[in-house]
Amino acid sequence: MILQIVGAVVLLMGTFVCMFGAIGLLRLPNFFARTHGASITDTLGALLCVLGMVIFTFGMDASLKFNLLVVVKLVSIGVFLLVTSPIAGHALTRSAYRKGLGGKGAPPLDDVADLPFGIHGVADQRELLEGGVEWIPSDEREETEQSTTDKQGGQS
Amino acid sequence: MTFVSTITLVFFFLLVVVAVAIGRLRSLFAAVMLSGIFSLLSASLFVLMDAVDVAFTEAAVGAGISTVLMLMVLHLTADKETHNNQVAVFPLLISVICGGVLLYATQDMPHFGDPNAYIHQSLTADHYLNQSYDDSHIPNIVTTVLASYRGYDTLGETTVVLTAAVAVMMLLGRPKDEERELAESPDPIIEVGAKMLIPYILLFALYVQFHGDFGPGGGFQAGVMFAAAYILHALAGTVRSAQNAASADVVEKLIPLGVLLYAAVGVWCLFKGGNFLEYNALDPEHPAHGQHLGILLVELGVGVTVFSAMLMIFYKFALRGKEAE
Repeated sequence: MILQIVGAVVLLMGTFVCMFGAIGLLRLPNFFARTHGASITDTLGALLCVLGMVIFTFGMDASLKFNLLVVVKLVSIGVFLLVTSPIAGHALTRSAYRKGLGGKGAPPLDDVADLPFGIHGVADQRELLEGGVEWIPSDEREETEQSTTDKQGGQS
Repeated sequence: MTFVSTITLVFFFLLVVVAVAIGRLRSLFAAVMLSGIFSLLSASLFVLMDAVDVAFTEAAVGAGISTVLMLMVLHLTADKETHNNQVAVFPLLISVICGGVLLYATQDMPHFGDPNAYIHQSLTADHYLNQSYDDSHIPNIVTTVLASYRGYDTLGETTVVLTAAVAVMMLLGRPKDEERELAESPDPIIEVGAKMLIPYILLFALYVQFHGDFGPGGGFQAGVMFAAAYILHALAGTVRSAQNAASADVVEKLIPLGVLLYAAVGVWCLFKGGNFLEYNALDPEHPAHGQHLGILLVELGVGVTVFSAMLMIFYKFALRGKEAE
């Protein structure tokens, strides 16, 4: 009985995480942030649901043999989700970046791996989130910032 | 209203919503995705109605492989519907009339779960339900009906799959050896993930293929799963590596081979002194053993044809773009 209550609570937590993921999917400002919301539903939400079902099954009064069969199935579903969901999110993000959703002038994907901070580089992440910001590679960015400060200094 | 029928109603409502959304969308990519969701919802409905075999097929074919094939088609064409402001009167009229006739016809359908429906009254269904285990000693009645009682139909269906593959091959031509890659550079994470999954997909496909007598499954589902494993290999890595695993030449020849295997079982029954596809004749001492053997071989034929046809169609679409560019 206690196990069933614990299982139900975990299941409920899973559904809440799924709901937050769905809200994020609808409300977040740009594609990559939305993918983040969708991945939360896929990974943490689904896994919590599976975990809740596993605990719930152990609390059921049916024979242990039956329970174990169900639990093995649930665990294999969980492992499958654990492998596929993050990879699906990764593939989605990667192809979106390749299609040019990373902002104007973003470096080609093969170069991104060499950048110290991955896709976002050292660009202001908030600007990137709002979308449409022109991409400035890290070294040139410092120069442009310097030049703008120089201009301001010259004007004053 | 019971719990189950409430869920059924919710699913039907979602089906209508998705169908309307598909009709209104201009983006074909989103429409393809929604049609996958439509199939998944239908599969869930079939599960609710205890038609697990049909649900399995719908999930594997409708939500799985046909979505991938449609995406491959979009890869070749534009992914936006061209806008057309003209109201086509004649097609609209035909659609309205057809829809009206269908709506009128549904009035003659029995109500949902009606115990007085003809299907529950007729003795035919009773006969199959009571007799199938004695006839073949196979617990899954769906498999018995599919492969044994209506073996002719299934042979026809397999031939339809063959015809579809032949039609696609005739329209798109033979695949060239030199090919265009789907992705510019295969991503190591996706490649490794696919490598982790593919053995299990193949293992599960084998299980579905040969366990169809005892649980849901059979040649159609297993064939699609086999094809899905190879398609995943092609999508995650390169089409070339998938073709190294399953060469297009071999796959091409497997398509008719499956149908031939099916028909050969029928002819074998003729030689043994039975009717066409009368598996009892295969083992006169134990008719049930003959049924087992016949159904196993026939399902294998179906599986081989479905697998190779799906993979061939995928190869055709995947390699098509190069000539156009």
